[in-house]
Amino acid sequence: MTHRRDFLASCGALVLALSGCHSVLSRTQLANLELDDPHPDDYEPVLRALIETILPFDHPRFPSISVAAIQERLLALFPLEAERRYLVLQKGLMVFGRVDLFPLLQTPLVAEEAAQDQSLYQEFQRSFRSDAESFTALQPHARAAYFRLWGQSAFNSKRLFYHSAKSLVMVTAYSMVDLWRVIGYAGPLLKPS
Amino acid sequence: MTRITCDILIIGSGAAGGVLAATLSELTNKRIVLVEKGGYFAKDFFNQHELDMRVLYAEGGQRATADGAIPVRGGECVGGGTTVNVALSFDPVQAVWQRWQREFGLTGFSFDSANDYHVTGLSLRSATDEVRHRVNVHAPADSEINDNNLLLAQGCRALGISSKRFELNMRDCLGCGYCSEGCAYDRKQGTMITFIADALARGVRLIHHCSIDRIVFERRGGAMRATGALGRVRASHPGSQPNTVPPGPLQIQAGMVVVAAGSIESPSLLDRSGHPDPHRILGKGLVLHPSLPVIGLMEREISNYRGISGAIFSDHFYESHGFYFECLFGHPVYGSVVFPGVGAEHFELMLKYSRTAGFGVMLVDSVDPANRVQWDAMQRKAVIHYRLTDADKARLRFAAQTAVEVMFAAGAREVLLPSEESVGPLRSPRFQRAEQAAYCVELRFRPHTTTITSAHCQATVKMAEDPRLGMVNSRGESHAVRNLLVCDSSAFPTSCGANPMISIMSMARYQGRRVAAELARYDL
Repeated sequence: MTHRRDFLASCGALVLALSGCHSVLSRTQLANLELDDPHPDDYEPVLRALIETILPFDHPRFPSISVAAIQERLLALFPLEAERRYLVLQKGLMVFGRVDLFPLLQTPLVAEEAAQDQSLYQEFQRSFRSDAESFTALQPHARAAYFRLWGQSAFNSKRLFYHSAKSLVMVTAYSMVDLWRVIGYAGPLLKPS
Repeated sequence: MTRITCDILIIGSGAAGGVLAATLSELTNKRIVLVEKGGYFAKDFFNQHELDMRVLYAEGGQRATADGAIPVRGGECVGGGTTVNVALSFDPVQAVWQRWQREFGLTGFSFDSANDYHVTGLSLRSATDEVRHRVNVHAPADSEINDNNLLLAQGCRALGISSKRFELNMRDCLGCGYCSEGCAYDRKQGTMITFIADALARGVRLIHHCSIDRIVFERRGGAMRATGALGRVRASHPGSQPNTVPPGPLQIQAGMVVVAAGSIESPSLLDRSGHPDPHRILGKGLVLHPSLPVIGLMEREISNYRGISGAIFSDHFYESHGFYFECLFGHPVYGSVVFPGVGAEHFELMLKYSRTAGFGVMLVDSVDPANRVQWDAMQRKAVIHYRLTDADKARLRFAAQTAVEVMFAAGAREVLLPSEESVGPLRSPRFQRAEQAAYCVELRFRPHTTTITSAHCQATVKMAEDPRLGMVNSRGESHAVRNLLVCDSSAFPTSCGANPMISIMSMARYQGRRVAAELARYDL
């Protein structure tokens, strides 16, 4: 059993989803997400909402940088559309964006972990009483709580997405001089040539 | 296709390859070619920006274990790890090499003055002395130690834990704090500006931006023999030094091939070259010194990102538990990823950057055959499978608990680990009092929840006299293919017991001197 769990835990979120959906409808939805090449118009709003969740733009000491500026810089550093290796991330954003699919991203072969995620999701629903199906439609507090669900999931693949999304946004933001100033980092000693 | 003929081809220009090239060019008159997968960047290129300098690292700094859980940093440029490390210099650990002699049947590698392989004056000790001299290994002066390092010493002292001063391969360090982005002042004495510079001055040909597809083996009289390699030279990255070969396919014919590409690339290259592996041990038993950063929030601002990053360490628990505390500090990009949480909670922590102290727990991990490197022909990349064993997790929990106590003893008001695991009554390991360090026993080190880092991959093409235990013998010679040697961290049978740079360089100096004295053995 340990080996099977290890194997499943190392699979990507989308593979898990396809192998573990409980309803035909959900399986079809997920299959479409898996098979279609996502369009930027579909995943970039999710990315934007994630940036708003990960960085505290309303904090009094946060520098006056717009969400759009961060997103533009992120896409320049990590060209999601131009490089094939980012396809998994595009699809991850699409799946993440569908809040209602969270409890379905699992497999019945690892029932214990599936139950943990069900429990997390039910608590999320109780707390926010939201019937929104998409991440972008959630209120800010609910977005933060939903993103944390992914970080707390029993499945490696969901936590991987949480960590990857956080890393992309943090790397983008904290390589900017505006952020350096407010945290007290003087930056390189060398002047740009 | 560009065709080149040489006597000795060295694949990889890091801690091992650079020293080998210099030593063989010093002691023989053979034609030597040194090949590097990454670029050749001199000091003017190093602009001290974390993101720009990703080009110095394997996979642009994004290399990680197969499950994405542990970043596996490694230099991929001329000089390899010695170009991007923080200059921590540990001599080879005698007890470890003696254990390898007992358990893996290694011969040679004497620590007293000896004549190993009947070569006058050849011992691992003499090789280490020569390396230390060339790269100027020395301990930093009191005036060079910043607050962050002093705090680690202070915390250890308060708890009766011994600490020491690192030795470093530097010369007149300016203390800018950007070792990991390449030294813009040529003060860090990596192989690029020492041994490789020596080798180039003696006529060694360096080819960079060159990926080796496979080593060529030929059957001669029933025995397999390495006769060269096939590869491809890429267009140079902007800012790189000029190359000696134009972009395109490359064929190198060589009398001897030395693989020195590191513990991830060396086994992958042998695998895709079709090197025999009758006992199915190639790539298995990877160790990578998993490391856990420990973060302390101090009451006042301290000097942390300026100054020598690593000047103080503790080996107090090395003999009993197999771990070190080593001082380190990260710039904002690294710090922002390591600090737990997101949103306002995370930003509040980043606002305390200038009063943050940091050091790391470095675990000397045990060998598990399931931890391995495999060449994935479909993805055309090395895949790194690694998980902490239960025994190593237990040691890491104790190390984490002790490290938190040390940080409080250093004066921290709050101590946190890069983790979002709940421990005890706490939502995450963010401690307000030293007594709470005991909650570390509950850490599970869940992938993608607790950040574990690594940079010291070893032991994937092990040396052992018995072919069932290792791919190469004590001379670094393949058990199956003549005139094929492996000489880098992959040849260590287990962890070398400390930060490996000087151990690797010493082994390379040793093997270089031995090969030069035993050239007849290779019929070059």
